[in-house]
Amino acid sequence: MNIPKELKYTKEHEWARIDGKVATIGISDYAQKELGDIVFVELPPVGTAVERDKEMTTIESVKAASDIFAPVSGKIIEVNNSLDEQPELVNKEPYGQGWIVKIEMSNANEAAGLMSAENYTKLVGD
Amino acid sequence: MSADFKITPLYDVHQGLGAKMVDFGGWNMPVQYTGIIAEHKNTRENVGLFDICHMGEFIVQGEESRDFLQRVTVNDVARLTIGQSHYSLLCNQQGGIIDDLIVYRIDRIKYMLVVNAGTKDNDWAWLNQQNTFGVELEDVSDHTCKLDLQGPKSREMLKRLLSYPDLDKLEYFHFIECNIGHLEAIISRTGYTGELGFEIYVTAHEAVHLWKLLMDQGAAYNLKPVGLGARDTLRLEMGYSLYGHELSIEHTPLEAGLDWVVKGDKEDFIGKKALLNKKAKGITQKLVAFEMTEKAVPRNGCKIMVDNTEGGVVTSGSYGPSVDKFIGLGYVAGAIMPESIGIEVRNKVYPARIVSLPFYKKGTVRI
Repeated sequence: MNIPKELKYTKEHEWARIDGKVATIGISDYAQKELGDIVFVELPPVGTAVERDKEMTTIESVKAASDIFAPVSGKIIEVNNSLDEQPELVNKEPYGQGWIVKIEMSNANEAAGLMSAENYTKLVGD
Repeated sequence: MSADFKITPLYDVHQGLGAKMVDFGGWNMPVQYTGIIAEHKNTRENVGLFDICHMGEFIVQGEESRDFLQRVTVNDVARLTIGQSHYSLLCNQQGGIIDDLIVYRIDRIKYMLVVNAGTKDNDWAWLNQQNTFGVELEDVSDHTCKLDLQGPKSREMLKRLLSYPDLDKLEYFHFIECNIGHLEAIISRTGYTGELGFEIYVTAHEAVHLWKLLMDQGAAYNLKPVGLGARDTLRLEMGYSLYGHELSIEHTPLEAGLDWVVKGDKEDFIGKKALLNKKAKGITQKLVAFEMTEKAVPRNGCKIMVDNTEGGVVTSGSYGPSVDKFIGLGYVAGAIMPESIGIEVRNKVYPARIVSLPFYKKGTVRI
């Protein structure tokens, strides 16, 4: 199970890469394996306000739709448009080319409340 | 897996292959091995192997077997020669569909019925209830296993394993009894994918052996095991109905586009009067096939909007890997079919276009 040490995680299996005030968000390797082949990612409009732990968008695999929750509060400043034509990037590179949105955080302290790689590993096992 | 679910003889094999399992129709079955899209595409390009041991099989025999089957099914059993099969339906007095099935004529007065896993018990009770003909009914489901081998390379691959001289000559909806290695089998040229393929029946205790034989032989043909996930996307691309989705007790064959299965000119059968009446009056809803014209995934239960009013419901929907589109089937009310409809997905309506079946038009099923 791939769980990069430099990232933060949530119990809903999102990951966050924090870079100053910007958090890049995606779903974990565990999540993409559970979901199976991703066929559609709903990309919210740039500028959308999001709230920590609230539903942010939806991702669909062949068999089912799944909610993605915002790990931190703020405003969406960028979305990964490549996912429109290539939703399978979420499966192939969940931490790289398969990133989903970038959030400008309204409260940088929230990042401290996210799960470490170590704790996320305990949650999903090896 | 809960203790309430059954498993096939191949359960350990699936575990060994790392299959993701799902509960389906009372059984714990593989939904995928390597991935639904890869398994789907490989079946259309090469060949795939499916564990379909969960389906039910009944033997019907006796002098009255033909008359009995004429009564309980809607297709014309008199047309079946020995070694031939056909698609049919069990209907009730109101013309409602109890199940869809394949009827095989094994001998002069011996037939095999192959029914869905989830409806098997219900079908068995119904057939016994209707058996005023004194035919011998036997539920052989527990002793019988079926593996589906489907894909353009299936025949080439299977030929080399058989004692049968010329598999090329086996026509669609015909079957033979022969040996695969030393295993006695019924090999039927039928399937649920739209590709050239075979459904292979063996006794349950030979199932694992058959699977291994086919996997070994299949290595040179890019054979991959396929789960129920891809089985569903493959059949959806062909527009084949699935009981519990397009077909149910609430639907008659007429709405489902299966009037061709109903042979109204044969002697009286259960549901005949109701169906002929309905045909005369006209149906009030119809099964349609549609493609999304804006990206969204239609799913079973989504509302269909016609001219901004609720006018139907989606019965099956997904992404079709071979057509690279979001596709679905659903019932639309009214006598005249609109060209475009709306599909409500998570409270938003997305446009879709009604198309003719099959979605996937390059299937090799009849070659």
